[in-house]
Amino acid sequence: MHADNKYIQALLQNDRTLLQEMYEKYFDKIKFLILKNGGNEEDAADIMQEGLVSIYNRALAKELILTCPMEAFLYHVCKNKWISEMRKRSHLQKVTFSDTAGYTIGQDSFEEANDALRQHGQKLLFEQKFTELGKACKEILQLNWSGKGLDEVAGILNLSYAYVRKKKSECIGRLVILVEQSPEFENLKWR
Amino acid sequence: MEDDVFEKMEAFINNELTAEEKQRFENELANDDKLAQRFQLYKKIQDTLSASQLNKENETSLQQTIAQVHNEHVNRPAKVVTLSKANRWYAVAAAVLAVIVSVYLFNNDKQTSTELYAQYAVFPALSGTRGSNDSLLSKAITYYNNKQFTQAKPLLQQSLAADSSDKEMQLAYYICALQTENFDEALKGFTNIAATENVFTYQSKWYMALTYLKQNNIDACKLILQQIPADADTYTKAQQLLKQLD
Repeated sequence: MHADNKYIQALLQNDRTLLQEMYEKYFDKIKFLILKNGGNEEDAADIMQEGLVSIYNRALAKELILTCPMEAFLYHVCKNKWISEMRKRSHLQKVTFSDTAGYTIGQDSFEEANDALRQHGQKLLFEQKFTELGKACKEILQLNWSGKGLDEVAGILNLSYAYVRKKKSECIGRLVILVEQSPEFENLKWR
Repeated sequence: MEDDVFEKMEAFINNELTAEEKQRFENELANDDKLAQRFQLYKKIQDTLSASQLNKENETSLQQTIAQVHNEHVNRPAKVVTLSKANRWYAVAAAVLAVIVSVYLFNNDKQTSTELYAQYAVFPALSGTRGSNDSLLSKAITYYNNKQFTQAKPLLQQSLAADSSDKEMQLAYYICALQTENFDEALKGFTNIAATENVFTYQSKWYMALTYLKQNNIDACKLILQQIPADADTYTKAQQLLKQLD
């Protein structure tokens, strides 16, 4: 286990002091990478935040043990995030990218980082498609997913249990189809 | 047609199919790759979005800490925390839901002002060293900057008892009062500071508004916000909050 695992814990515990330390140590390098590759200060701030949050979400879903320095791990995550952002903006699959930092990370860390990226990408895609659902679907799903049973949801919305139950599967089904039809779908290999 | 398939998936997940139906669905899954893939996606969407919904608060507060740390790092004055792009839609969806739910539950106003408070309760860090070698004060500052307001409050109080001239420390003390929910004390303090023209006048007004917001006194909050003039550095966020309260 690498000593930098304290930073993973820091993310899980929202530890301000260690987050400050991470900014001191890593932000300038991430910023340099983004600025050199067509981004601006605001992009750098967004990518750093998204990078940290996707590592956080990955660690939340399944135990994450770093076997490489946090610096290399975060850099890998942010770099790939920026590459996919560049793709999105340019509408090109291939983008030219310059990286002279020369970090190398082991195979296991590489896979963990990609896992975090994939998981984050999926979450963003699902959340975005969710916004395209109708009002009734949004209400039912949000209430149910915030921990309310379907009978409770039916009561709150003044609908029958049978209707809510059927509607719920229809709504998730609609999401499945929206996700399948999205251009990002193929890029986010499913597991 | 398709809806039937999804209904079956949901029933399968909840273990609501008869033994026979269950067996039949398992066979279908085994023989139909497209269906099996869809079923995985169905589960994945539900797992991902329900987990994200349940953890929303924690994720948002991590984002806020990151945004604050970022702002401090790039040496800009603390600004209103923005949610990441990914979550902006979610905030909108949540706001829509809050309105809907409040219609049914009648008491959801508080939730909304609590959320707004959380969004705006960003307190700039205190600068480290003061004139004298005052360990009491430096301890207080450390606690304060770490957001440990309960610990910072009595230390600041002691320090101010010895020397009450430092307006920034006074302000910090009343912020501690606000954060520890001593609202009357906080309001009185901010009002005093705002009563005279000084560099902290409109910051104090802003904090008065936040104190009212935290107590869900929206009318008083709005009234104070309207008193912040366009040339004050708290004007932009005051206007923004006013809009959100409407």
